[in-house]
Amino acid sequence: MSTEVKSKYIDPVTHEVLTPTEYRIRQKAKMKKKLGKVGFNIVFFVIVFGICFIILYPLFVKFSVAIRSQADLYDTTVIYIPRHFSLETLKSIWDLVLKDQVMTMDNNIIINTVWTSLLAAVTQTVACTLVGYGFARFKFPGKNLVFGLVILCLVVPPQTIQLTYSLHMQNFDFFGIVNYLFRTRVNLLDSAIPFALIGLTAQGYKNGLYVYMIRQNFRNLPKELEEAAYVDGAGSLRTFVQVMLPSATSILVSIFLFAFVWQWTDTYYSGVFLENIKVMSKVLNSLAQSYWMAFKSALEQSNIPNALASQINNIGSILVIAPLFILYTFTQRFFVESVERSGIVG
Amino acid sequence: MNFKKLPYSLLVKICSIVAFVCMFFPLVVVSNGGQVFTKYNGWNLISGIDFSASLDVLAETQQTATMDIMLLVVACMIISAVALSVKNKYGLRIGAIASGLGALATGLFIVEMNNGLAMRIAAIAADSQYSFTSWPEFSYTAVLFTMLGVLVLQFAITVLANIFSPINEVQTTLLQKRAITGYMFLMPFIVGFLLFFLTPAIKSLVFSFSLVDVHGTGGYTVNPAGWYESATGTIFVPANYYRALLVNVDYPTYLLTSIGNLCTTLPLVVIFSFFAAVLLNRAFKGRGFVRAVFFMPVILTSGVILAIETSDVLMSTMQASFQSQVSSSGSTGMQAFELQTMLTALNIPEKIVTAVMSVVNNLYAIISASGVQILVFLAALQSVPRSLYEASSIEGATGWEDFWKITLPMVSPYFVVNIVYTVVDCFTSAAKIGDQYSSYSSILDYIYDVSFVQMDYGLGSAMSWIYFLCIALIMAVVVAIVNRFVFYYDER
Repeated sequence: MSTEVKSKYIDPVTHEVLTPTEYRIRQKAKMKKKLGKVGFNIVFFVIVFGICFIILYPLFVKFSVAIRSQADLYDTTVIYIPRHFSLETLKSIWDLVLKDQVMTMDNNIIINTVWTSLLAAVTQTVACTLVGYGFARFKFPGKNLVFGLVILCLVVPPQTIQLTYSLHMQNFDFFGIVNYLFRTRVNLLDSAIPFALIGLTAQGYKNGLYVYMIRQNFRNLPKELEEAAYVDGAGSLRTFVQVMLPSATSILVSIFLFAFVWQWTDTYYSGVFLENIKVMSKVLNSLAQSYWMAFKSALEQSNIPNALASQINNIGSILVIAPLFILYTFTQRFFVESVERSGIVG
Repeated sequence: MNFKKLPYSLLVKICSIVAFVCMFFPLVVVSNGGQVFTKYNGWNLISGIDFSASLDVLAETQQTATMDIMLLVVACMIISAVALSVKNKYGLRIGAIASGLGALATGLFIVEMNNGLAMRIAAIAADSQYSFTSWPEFSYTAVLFTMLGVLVLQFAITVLANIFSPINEVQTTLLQKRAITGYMFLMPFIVGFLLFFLTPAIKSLVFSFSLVDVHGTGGYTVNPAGWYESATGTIFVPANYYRALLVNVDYPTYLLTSIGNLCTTLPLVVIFSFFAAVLLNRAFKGRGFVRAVFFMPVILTSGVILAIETSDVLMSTMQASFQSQVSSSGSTGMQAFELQTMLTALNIPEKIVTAVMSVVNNLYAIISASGVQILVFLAALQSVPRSLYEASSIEGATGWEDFWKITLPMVSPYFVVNIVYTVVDCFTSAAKIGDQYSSYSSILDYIYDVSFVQMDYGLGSAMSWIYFLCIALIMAVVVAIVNRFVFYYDER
């Protein structure tokens, strides 16, 4: 009889035999703890997914605005879900503006954009990796000074040197030597060379940040790796390529993604270096205007209606973002991994 | 006298400091509107340079060459100074080569200066607007003085290298070899810095001290103007910095507004990103998805997309009117307004309400501006050694204590990094300057407008340099303050 009572009031963890009151008190405390945990989790998820919602909301609105008919733009009862699904604006943008720029072989905006972005991304990744590695794994006098210069390049607003930058590329020279010897000027504008040049010399958009991130990544690798490679007879370059680089894949992919995307959506460098060559970001910037210029002849009205301009900009944004979105869904795991990786402590 | 006993590195340091100061000599001349050399009958370094297409190509290339050769001298001096501080045979060789190149470049510089001056004098003589009659006689003296100074310095550096470098120490140590390899890895950046940053930056600095006239053909004329004022002939013309700060009505307002905006955005972004990083560092289901979403604004809301979404005021007013057209109530703006009335009804002081409202209204902007910072903080959180937490849990610390005693101090250096990055990001991206000044979305837009629409390059460069100085100053102050509270676990 007594054994039955005992088996009823046994603490599940410590297997102590308890009196009913004690048992109830413990049970209550356990419930309280559990409830607290559940409450905390609820708050946590509300915050996290709330922020996710705030981030995703503009995308959703963009999409919703893009796929509605023009009548729905003025319908006050339509907020998120359009009453009339239609791609008429997209179709007319395609017919009036984009068709000529995409369907030709010469000065094709898609080819131009992909080419400049790829070039910038590859060169910047290579150069920043070298520089970041140099900062992370070597000790030499003047290191902090040079790192200060990297930060300086990041801090000076690019617009400060915009004009002289373009003059420099128009009159490209290496410390006046070419000019002095050959008495000619080398015009690099309207070509992809400036993108490659500033990429290879780690002077592209926010390259200081990339250098910093890569430095941080390599800094945390154990010194024993290097020493083992040295004992096995590998030189500095070989150590870099065969020992260090393979462990940095995820940060390299992240940097590549950053460089690619920021070149894709960039208007500053394409504004400085390219005049006649068209890229997506520049076309998007004036999409509403050029659409209206082509459309106006049919309708005698000088200003584009606000709602229509907004819709056109939303559609344009989606067209520019879509490839990036696809790229990001494939590469985001490297992003997350790069965070985990840089946590290795030597 | 035993040379080996002398403080070698100190001498080299002094020498390179002197050389460094001398490098700014041309800039001083420029910044004074060419007035330093009044006693040499007013020698102007870049006075009256005419790049216009009407002049022949020779004159144009010579002017560019003069400027660039000057930079080559500077580069050679820096390289020789740096190389000589590496105390081995490579350092000596590189230093000697750089010094030699520097001397050569100085020679080129002199030749170019003379040719360029001659060309300019001819060009100016043809233009009746200018009448610098006293030019030809003095220029040689001034140029000779500069040349002599540079040559003596180069010579001194070379001699010092010869005397004080341990020539008998032919064998380089492993550390020295690694130092040289380190320099090799940094080479892309150093070359890029000299070619694509320093050159345009110095030219832009020169522009900011000059009156730049743009010709329709794409050429331009640079006339030195100095700091405050310049007299072209008898007409008083205020110079760029004077105009930007004291004559221009809009610029100081924009500047102050954007600085004020930074002061509210900076703490919000840094604190939010730290908060988000701590949240994302926990293990929970769907973490991969949430992380992917958090970093999405960095990828998708950048450049032109960001410009269209937030900074382009034309567009945002469009969207505002569009929203009011689409929905008379129920939009986010309306809800925020209701929150405001609710807070005011609760008798909360007005200042707090406006502060809260600015946060609520800018929530999306803050979240999308903190992607990179979250990344940095997450990496920092991951790099805190697990052993510290194990030790503290053995000692009986709670999670709360862990956070304040371990996590925060270990992550604190990254606050400095993120503050620097946020300041840079705020200032260089299209930061809004407020609704009441709705003609330009950001101060950079305004500067762009001044330079490229109003075609006032000199004023535009002066504005952007003032702006840059403000950034640098704010950053220095904030970092200095934060650095007092930062804990450095190990100095590597």
